[in-house]
Amino acid sequence: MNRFENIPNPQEFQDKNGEKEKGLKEKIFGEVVEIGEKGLDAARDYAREKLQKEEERVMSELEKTSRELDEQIGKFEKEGMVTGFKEFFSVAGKRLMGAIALKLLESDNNKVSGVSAVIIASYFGYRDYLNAEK
Amino acid sequence: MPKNKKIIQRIITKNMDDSKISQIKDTIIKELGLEGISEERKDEFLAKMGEVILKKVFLETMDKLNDQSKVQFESMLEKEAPSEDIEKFLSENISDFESMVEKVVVELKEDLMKTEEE
Repeated sequence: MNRFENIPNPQEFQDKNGEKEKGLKEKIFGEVVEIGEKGLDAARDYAREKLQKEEERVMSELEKTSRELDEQIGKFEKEGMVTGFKEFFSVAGKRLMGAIALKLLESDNNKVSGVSAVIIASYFGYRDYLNAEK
Repeated sequence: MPKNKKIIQRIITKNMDDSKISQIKDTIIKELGLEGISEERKDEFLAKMGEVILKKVFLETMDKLNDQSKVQFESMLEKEAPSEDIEKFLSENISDFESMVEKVVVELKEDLMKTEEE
């Protein structure tokens, strides 16, 4: 049912200050649109804020894990290990990640599965990051 | 190694098409519920994920090798042994190496998603 159906449609009407205005339906409709726009803005702000919080949460989780892993890796170096993670990455990591991703892709009939996608994307992401750091 | 396998391997490790990589990156970002973030931020996330995965793989690898194999592995890394040799060494000394890496990746993804639900 049309909500405006029962609203009288005078060409002119008086507002609460007694001034004449035109088009009651248009006035009400304008207010409805204004409220709707405010609602949309609020929804957009909410979505933006939610995404930002999620972004911060995932990054902080990754950074925390990375720091914990650094501590464990540090223990190997203290134990007299000559080579560390960077050597592992530059010599073994590249090939291994590629080979593993390939195996996962093949077992998935060449479709990119969640796991192989993570390996490929994270490998390329990390490699690009290291290259940019140089 | 069959010819087609070699070709796919070359595609993945060396000449992977930029648009394909970008598509794969987007899939991960989507899975993490982070669509809508900037391209620069996406790259930061993936770099961090890669770093964490590789560090975990490194630690798992060291944990699974016995003392003698560790020394051998270190020496291979120092000498920058060909990656084929390293791959062969690891698969001979760690049972089901690929599954181990797969497990690391799955666990990280689950960890990141689990915290989201909490």
